[in-house]
Amino acid sequence: MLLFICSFGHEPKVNSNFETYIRNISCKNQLVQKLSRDLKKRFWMPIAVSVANKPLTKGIQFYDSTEEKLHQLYISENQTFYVEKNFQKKIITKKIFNEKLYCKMDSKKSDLSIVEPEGNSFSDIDLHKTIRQHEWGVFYFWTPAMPLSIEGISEIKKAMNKIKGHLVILADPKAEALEIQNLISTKKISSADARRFTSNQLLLLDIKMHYPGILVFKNGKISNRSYLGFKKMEMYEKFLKLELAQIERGVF
Amino acid sequence: MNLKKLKIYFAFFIAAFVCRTWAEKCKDISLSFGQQRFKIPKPMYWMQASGDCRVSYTDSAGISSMYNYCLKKVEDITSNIDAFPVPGSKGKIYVHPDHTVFCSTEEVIKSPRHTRCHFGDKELKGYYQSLGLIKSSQDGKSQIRILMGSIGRYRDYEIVQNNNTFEVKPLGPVHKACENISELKLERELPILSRDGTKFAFRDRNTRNTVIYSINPQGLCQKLPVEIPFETSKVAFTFGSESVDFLVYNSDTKTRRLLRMDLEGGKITAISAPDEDVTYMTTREDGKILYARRVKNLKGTFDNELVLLDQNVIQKNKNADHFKLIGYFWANTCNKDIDEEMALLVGQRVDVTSCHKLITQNRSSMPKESGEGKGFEALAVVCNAKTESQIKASELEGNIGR
Repeated sequence: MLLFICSFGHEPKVNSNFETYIRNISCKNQLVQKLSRDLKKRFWMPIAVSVANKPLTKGIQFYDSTEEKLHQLYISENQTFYVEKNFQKKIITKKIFNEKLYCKMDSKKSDLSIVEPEGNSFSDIDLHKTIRQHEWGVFYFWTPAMPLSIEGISEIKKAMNKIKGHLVILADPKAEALEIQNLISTKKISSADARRFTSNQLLLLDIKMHYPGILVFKNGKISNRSYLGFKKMEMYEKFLKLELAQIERGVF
Repeated sequence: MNLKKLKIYFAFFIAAFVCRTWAEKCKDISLSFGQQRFKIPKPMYWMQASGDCRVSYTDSAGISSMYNYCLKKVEDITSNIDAFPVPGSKGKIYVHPDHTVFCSTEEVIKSPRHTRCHFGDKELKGYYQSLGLIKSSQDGKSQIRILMGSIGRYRDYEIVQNNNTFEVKPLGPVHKACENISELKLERELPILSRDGTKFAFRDRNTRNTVIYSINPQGLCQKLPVEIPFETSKVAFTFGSESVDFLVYNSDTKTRRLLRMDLEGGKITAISAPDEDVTYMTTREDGKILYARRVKNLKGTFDNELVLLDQNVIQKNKNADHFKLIGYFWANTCNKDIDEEMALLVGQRVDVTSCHKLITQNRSSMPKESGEGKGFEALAVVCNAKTESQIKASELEGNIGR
């Protein structure tokens, strides 16, 4: 009786037959929104899938603790990709739905929502502009909470001076303004290095999981492989040469 | 008014009372049950538990400190980066990575600017160090392993503790970690040593999983079949090294969730709630969990908090079904829509008093006693098992609460 009166929640609607679930949705935008709603409290993560020669694609990864599987769903152009993987990321099932998924296009909601710039921030618009305007470069991410990430700024600058790429230094969007200000006033960083990133695309690439970290871009694409942890100039130089070679081969 | 109507009105009244009573406990799981929370000055990423009262951390100036949550104050220590407490020393010794310097916690806290540390190793220096206790004996001797993550090398040391002092001696040369695994090389990132010194965790740059290797007495490594299948940062092994804790980031909610993976079967369970934004985590030698989190305050800005969780909160599969059921009872009472992981989390955290209340209030909806073991009696046993740990927790809270 108490259950009834106090009203009760309900089990999430996604059942274990994931394929059946997604097939019942006719529109790709609705699919992403419905999954976001139904899976919001389970082990699901937004993911970004970077495929060579294609734009970054937003998807969803859902962890099923009962079956110990990862379910990934991403939509690229007119195809929907559904992938099941085990914990070693080995693909168990991969299906491609070739159906064109139609829906009323809502201009305010696109697959990759664009974040407008606000103040001294680095948004998706800034990101797209940067990777279009420069042949190749590096985004370096730091936070006041990790002193080695502050120290690493000079190391990546030295490395990039040698290899001649475009460097963008970006601060943790959650960093306390006062801490950043203190670092500027004590000359530990310059104000140009204090730009916070708000780009959704960068967040989708999980760059917030460790500071410092770097991401490489070339020919308008961002590499999937971040390089994490404090490094000296020589290590950055070595890594960047290898990474650029991989990207040249089309491996993102 | 007939009896039936009277029963309905009575039940409604009870429900309204119960619902109001539960209002606070329903608001935020972390406000609810059996934890201690402390306001801390910094986010404390990469903090480490030191004894039963402290965590070490480093601030943006690159200076290490200890936060004493028993006394609720910051304690200055040696100013080098990343003080890492030596496991097995009960918080009495810590190490800085720069030349692997061993320091006495109490000596330094008494006189932070004038105390010299006991021993330094010029052959092992760098940053991102992690320590493991290989063995210890009753006579105060212990063998520890230090992995210097930045260079992927480790060394073993013997420490002899005598009352408030200690001596350190290197045991053998510096070794390269997992030398037999040639394909690691540049692809290995963020190496972390387990607390018993027998496992390494690394981030694989290509799969972006965190992989785990065991290391045998000869220093040879073998990959474990389990991996963390999420993009994560530096992980933290539990003290028994049976599990590893890690954070995953949700770019929609912009929060980091704390999860734990069992190294035997790879099962993953949640430690923090989905809406908690966890900065980092560590476990004490007694198994209790400490994690730092960001919390929005009434002004709309953020405070940093340290949460201390009893180890009984995180159970293995034993009693998991009972905890889930209790968690769903909480959700029903609080009109919350929760999933299985959240139900388990809530059920584990519920204190003994609330536990009994929840199962009493929901008795009519329980499975029958026979055959399933989830009946009222079985659940009451689970609630009672919380008693001892909760009493200890509430005693501690009386002394060091917020």
